[in-house]
Amino acid sequence: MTYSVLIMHISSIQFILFLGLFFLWSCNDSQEPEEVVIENDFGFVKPEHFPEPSYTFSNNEVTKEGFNLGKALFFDPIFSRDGTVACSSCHDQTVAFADPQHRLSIGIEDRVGVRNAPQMTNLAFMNNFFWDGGVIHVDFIPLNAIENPLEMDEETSEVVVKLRNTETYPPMFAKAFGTDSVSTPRMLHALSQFMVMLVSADAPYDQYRLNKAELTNLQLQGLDIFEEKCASCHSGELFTDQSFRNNGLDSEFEDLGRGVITEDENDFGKFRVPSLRNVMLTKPYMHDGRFSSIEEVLAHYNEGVVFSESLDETLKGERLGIALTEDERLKIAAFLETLTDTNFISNPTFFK
Amino acid sequence: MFRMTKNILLILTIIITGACSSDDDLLVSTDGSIELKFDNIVGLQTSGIIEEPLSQNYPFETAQGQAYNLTLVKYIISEMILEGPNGEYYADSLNVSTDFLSGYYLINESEPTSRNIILENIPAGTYNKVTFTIGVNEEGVSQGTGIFLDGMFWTWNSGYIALKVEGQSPESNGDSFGDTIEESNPFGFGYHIGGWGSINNNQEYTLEFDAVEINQTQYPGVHILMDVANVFNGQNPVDFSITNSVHSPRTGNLVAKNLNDLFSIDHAHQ
Repeated sequence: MTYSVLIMHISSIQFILFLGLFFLWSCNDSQEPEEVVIENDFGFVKPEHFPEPSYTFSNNEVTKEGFNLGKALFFDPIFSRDGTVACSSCHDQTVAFADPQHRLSIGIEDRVGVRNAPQMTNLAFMNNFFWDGGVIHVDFIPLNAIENPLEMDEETSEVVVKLRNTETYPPMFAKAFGTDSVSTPRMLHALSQFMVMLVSADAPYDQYRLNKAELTNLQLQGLDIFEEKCASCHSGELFTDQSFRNNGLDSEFEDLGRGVITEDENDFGKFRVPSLRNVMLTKPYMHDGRFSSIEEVLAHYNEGVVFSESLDETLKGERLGIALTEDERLKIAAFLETLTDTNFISNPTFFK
Repeated sequence: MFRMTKNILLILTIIITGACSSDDDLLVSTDGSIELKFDNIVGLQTSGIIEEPLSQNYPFETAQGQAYNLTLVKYIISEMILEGPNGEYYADSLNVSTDFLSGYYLINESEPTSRNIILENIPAGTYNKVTFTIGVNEEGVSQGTGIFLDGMFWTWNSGYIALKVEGQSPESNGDSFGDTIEESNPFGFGYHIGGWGSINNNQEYTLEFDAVEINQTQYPGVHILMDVANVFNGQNPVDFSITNSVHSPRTGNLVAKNLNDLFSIDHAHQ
């Protein structure tokens, strides 16, 4: 058991106790310290079939108090300049923390954003965030939404001041961080503690994967077709390779996507390959929410792909796109249903 | 109650750790400290280089002959290394957690105390070389929050801004922005130089100075000059009427190429 994994499994007070014991033992060189097993009541746990998390838990251990503070912040519109928009306004647990009703995100004063609010699951395992991957660490995710004029349109430093002036938050910061002094890093770390705990790994697919349940024949056929035709990009247990690709939506780009970040022509029109976990809940689809159903998405790959210079190599060729018969599309959709994690979307741990 | 218990345990841990130390560690330390002073100048003017926003006093001139003033000079220094002629070596440790930060320094010309960096626990010896980076490299960015977010950060393209230089020039066409420059400012300019990824505008500098002794009783200082005029002169001279607003890694790359000689040693004293 590595040091960092250990940190995730035990709360801070237990950790300090353990440290104390560890150093006590270390006085006596002749004896190897024995492993201390302490019951974990709260903390981040990696699902057994998932890759190692990328989140820097060594800088920000998840505790119940930190998580609860992060959760309170997540639901609080105090982040927006006029107090009308919370993180939860565009990220709803019932649809895997995607936006259940808007094609494009809606900010303060009904300002219409430029992209569809993505789902927020398994963030602890991701290396980049947002459709353009401009953010590379969970801690920095909220800053983008807070300061974007089309979203919350607020200064981060202002939010810190507002939180300081409440009656409720300073005591919560005290419980979480041992000091009631509200700071930007503490605020962001609390939000991260909430976000990294949003692990969706208990869908029927996972139960099948871990030999705990069966899938239907139709779903299994869908899985075969998925692996053959979709999994080169939507790969692994996260169902994304986290790369940026142009999937042939347009021949000219209104939104440069990844190109906004890299300022490189070769990246114009590329967007992050989204995770397909809970995909049946997260409509509408694509960076601009242009498709309202999975059937439309599959039809796009079969017959809608258009050419542009940066079009992904896997979609080029004599025939653009991915040939999918109607039968194959039905079976893929049947498989995608198995990625819906009802235990996750109804988990009271994340309720307001 | 929880906090108290936690603190007691922490103290206990520290005591126990201390008690474990072998006798060698208990010998008096021979480590010392050094102070690095960053003097931000413009050519020959070594102090008072900052004007109020909207000031129409333009004390400086670029190599291209364009008058200007400065309203903000702010930068991040990281990855400090000290070296000496006999193999002396000290690398400042880089640490980022919720409440503990080390190895990253924000220098703001408008906040005098920020211009002095004190490095401690340096092994005693002779030192004559300092290496540092302007900006924050991937190692720091990938640690998440904790490094001062005091405006030196791009939220949309996460990463730290290495250097901010803002001011005004009668040649500027306005419409720029920054911490001290409003878009309505008709003469404003703002250069925010950052980028650590495919375009990396952070630069490493190694400067040599007259050897100084660091030990328990001697506390030397090294005065480093940062000549802001370099930002506008150099291989890509800045024309305020053409480029007065730089806020992304690629556009900043041209200006960053001017920064090769940004820092120099004024003097070192014992």
